[in-house]
Amino acid sequence: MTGAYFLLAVVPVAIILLAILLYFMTREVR
Amino acid sequence: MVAAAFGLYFLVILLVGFLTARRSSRSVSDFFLGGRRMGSWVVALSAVASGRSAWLVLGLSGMAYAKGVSAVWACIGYIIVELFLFIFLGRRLRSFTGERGDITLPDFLESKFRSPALRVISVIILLSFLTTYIGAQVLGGGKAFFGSLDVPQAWGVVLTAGIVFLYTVFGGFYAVSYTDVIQAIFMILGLVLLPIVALVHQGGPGPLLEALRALDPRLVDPWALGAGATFGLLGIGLGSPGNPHILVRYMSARDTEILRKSAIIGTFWNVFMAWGAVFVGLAGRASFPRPDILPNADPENLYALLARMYFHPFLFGLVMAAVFAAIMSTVDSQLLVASSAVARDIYQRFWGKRASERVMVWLSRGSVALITLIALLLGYLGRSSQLVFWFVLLAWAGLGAAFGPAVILGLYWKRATAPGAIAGLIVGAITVFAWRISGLSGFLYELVPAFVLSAIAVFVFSFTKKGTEHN
Repeated sequence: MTGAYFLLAVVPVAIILLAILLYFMTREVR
Repeated sequence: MVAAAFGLYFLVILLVGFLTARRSSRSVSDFFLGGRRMGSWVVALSAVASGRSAWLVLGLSGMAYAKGVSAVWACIGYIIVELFLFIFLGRRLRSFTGERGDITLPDFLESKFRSPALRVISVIILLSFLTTYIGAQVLGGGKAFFGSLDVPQAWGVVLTAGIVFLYTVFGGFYAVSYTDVIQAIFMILGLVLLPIVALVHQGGPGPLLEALRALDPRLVDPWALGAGATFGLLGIGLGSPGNPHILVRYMSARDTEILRKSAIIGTFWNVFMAWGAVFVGLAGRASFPRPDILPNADPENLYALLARMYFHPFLFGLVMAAVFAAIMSTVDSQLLVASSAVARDIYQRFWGKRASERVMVWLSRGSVALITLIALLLGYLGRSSQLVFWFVLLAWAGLGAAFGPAVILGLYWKRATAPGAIAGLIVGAITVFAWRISGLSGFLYELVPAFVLSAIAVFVFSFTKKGTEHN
């Protein structure tokens, strides 16, 4: 069941966090 | 009531087509690329909605019904790949094509590798897979009309193609992109509302998973599919960098900064839609434990069944419009790209360099009509086929494996050359066919080996004598 919770809850949150992280990491300094 | 909801949906998208007709008529760049003026929401929602066909709503929920939580593997790959495309490859592609004035993918390949032959080969591969793709989607639309409104399938095919044709032929890229946004919102309605209601009926995620485990422990086992199938599902994501109807969305952004914002919006949407579809499938399995209870014993009918069970007819109509939204948001983008291959990539490039913008826009509209007729013919020929997704996955793999490695290496590897790109395109396309015909697809989705072999071909042929001289 841990695996199921991992795929259904942890993975989507992790992907969204990765998106936010990449957004800030690629910010261009003007 | 159901028909009223559908009517409302179709009316809104047709209206968008007519309202954007004037703006799209200004130039070929406006008609095929929205004049490179698209904002972050439009680029984000248009890119992700164009990439997700009816497979997301019907196929993925059906897969979750049949296989359980391991269906999640099918969406992890493409969501992460598309996040990286928005942030990295998309920005580089936007920057390069903006400087050179490239409007289409073959435009980009020719100007990057300075090879007219590459343009011709890419148009041939692009048109063969895209027309198959559009034909299959239009047929899917016909089946959906039959399933939800009892409209005969043949008329459903004509209606699907006809509605998409009308707004695309008038509004071009503007209509395609703005309707994609509306369609993305309809899909949110279906794939957020339905799973929430279905989950509440099951008592929440905990009791749902307990019920599934009691039914069959494999339904809650993430590794139930085995390594080959899991790897193949993750590999679906390899298709995104090569599918031209997705790539042109990045090229249409107002500037490269837009794409960073689009990455956040697009990823949120992708995640909500995918997990929504999976939860529809899981909740459906708990409600209907045996597939033979479903209409035609087909898990792909689950979405409509649950929607009819839980919602008022008007809301059912709106939620079912999400299926058409998924189909049309993909078909319109593909129709426009296929038409650009005829009008821009072949005619304007080789014969019509002196043609005025006005003439070119009308020729582009003629190409939209031509490709719609071909799609209708393919939809008619495949009318008795049960294999809509079979063709969709084949075309997704063909485009992804042929173009993906050439585009990626073209943008990121300085030594990539025209012979390398040509070899990559041909090897990718042929491998997809050969793998599918040999029956190996049951073991591993053809996109994975074809993508790898195509990348190797680009790499190796870039070192040939001719390639090095070219370089």
